[in-house]
Amino acid sequence: MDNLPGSQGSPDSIQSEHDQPQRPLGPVGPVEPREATGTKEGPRAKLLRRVPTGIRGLDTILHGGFFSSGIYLIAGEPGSGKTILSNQIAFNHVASGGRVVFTSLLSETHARMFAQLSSLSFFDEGPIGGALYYISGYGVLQKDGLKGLLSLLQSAIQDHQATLLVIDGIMHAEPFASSGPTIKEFVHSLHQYAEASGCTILLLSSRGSGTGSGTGNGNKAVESDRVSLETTVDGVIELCRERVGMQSVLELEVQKFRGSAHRRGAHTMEITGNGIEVYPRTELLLSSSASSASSVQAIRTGPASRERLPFGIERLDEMLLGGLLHGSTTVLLGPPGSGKTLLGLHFLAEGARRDEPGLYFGLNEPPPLVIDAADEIGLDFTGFVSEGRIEIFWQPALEASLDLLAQDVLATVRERGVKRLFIDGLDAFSDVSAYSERLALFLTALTYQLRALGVTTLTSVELEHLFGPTVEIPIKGVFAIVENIIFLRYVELRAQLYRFISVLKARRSKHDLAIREFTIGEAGIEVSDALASAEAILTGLARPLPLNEEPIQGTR
Amino acid sequence: MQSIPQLSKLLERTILVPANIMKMILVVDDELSIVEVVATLLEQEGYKVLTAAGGKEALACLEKNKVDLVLSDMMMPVMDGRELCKRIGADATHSAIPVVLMSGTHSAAHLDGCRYAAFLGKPFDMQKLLSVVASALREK
Repeated sequence: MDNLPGSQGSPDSIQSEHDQPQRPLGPVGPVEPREATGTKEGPRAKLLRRVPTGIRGLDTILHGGFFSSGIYLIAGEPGSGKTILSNQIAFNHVASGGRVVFTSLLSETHARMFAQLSSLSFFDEGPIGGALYYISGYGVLQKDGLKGLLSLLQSAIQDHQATLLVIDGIMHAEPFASSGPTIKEFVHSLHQYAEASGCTILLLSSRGSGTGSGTGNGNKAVESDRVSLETTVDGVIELCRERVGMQSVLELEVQKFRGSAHRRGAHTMEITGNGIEVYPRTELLLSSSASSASSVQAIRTGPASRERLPFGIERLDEMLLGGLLHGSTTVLLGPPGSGKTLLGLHFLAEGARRDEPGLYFGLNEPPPLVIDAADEIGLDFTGFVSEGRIEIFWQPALEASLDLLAQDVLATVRERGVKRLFIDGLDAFSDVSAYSERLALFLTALTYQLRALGVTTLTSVELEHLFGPTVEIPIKGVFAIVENIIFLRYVELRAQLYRFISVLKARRSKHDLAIREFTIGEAGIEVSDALASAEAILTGLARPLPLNEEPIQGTR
Repeated sequence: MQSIPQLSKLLERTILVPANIMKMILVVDDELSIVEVVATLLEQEGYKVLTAAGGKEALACLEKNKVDLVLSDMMMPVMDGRELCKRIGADATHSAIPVVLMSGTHSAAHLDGCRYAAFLGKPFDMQKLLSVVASALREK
């Protein structure tokens, strides 16, 4: 079997691989040493051929796929996606030139399974019966036990020149182990045969709901067999369904992978019309890419690292000594209606005028509303969007994977060469996230990746209260992540509401410490001089200064 | 009181049943649940039924029994339906036996060089199965 699909070694092009469109199987690039997660691959491991799953996120987690001739267990409770995952891998394998035998030990018929899979885009009747061959092992198992099943599978591998064998329902073989070889012996023998013939094996096994990685459902014999099986195989992938509040979240975890590092911990996945989509945790991808010399170099000494990107609002740009530093991340902090979105739209419009491609990424307002809002203050988003200078990406703030959002943003940034990014409503990320505790790490990873790509990012964060002496930041730890903070505030003074803007933080840069009033009119945002006649403005409840008292102004 | 069409159906059934008793059908499939369902249905219709879990077992069965029709799955271990069909066609003693092929896919691809009486995509309507079997037996 010289034409096995796969590639030597394992790829680790995290930034590119994670964000690129789904690609066909096949050689997946050079090997890079991994340091951040798992064990290092030894030189012998690099000699093993990788068999990609063809599922982008899963291949990223596995650093390129399974090892050829390896035997892997995919375990999960009913409804966690085992059958779809294994069939998807099988179809992908065939599409890349491999040959697959799919054996079911379940009583469910293949016809029923095909009917259920037929709505998924990877399903194709073409190779079924040819390069992708489905057989039932149920009858043989009933009649001849594990010995008969072993013989059947060996014949099937040989007859069909299989490079991938899938056995669905391996735990159903357990009751037949009493009068012949044990499950462990069966798997061992099968593995030996597969190794000699260059065939990779996937075993699918049900696991009781809520058992997680361990405790089983009380049946000690079944649990013992499962543990025995897990010690025998080269790798274990667990699928599970978790309830987080009202959300049901599908997760995938590689619990064991002999001979290679892998991205540890749980990763979310979804069952879509394309089959299983796996989203590696964004912050985990960072951990292996952040330390790469090229990445750090790109951030520290990029050709335009001291370049300033203006808003096109004269006095605001003066406050920022010309604009936001290239590659920096800035938070626009303010209560509802304070002008955060419009300021962000100004930033993108000014970029469009300077031929700097911009991306609006929002979770709240659909594109037509964004375009209308910009057009109404003379920013001509209709023109910029139609000319392709600005792209609007909208993801309704419903249930969505954080990692998928990051993947979409980064993919668009790369594809369109985006220089200016405005994320409207960063706080909405915490609403869509099933696990809010990982938000700060996630944002660290995302901003790092954007910085490395040379993107200057502006993001709005909404404050809950319109007025008051205290400010509650809805996302914990966000200030440590960003370089700049621009604070927008409503101020009540002499029975009148005013909008004020100030620069609270500008890392690596001086900035104007003044608090300035701004207005929103038909010509957009206009920033006025510093307010010299009041104090306690940032509390939202300003006090007029005594007439003889002069305010202190300056830059830092 | 029964209407005329119902009476004619009843008469047709009465005439067909004795004829079916004379016919022997060999059902070949590695999926036991399919074999059980199909065999039960055919027996209820008055056919005699033999079963086999694969092509090799089916050929052995043909050597020992007079079979009028083979109803075989396509994808089976060791010897699949296509190979079984070819072997039956190539054997002078069995070449007259009509072969009806079944498959989980609704495509008759991968059947080149195989002479079969009919193709049924699973899951199939039971009435359609009976109709295809009756038709293949009539054309024998």
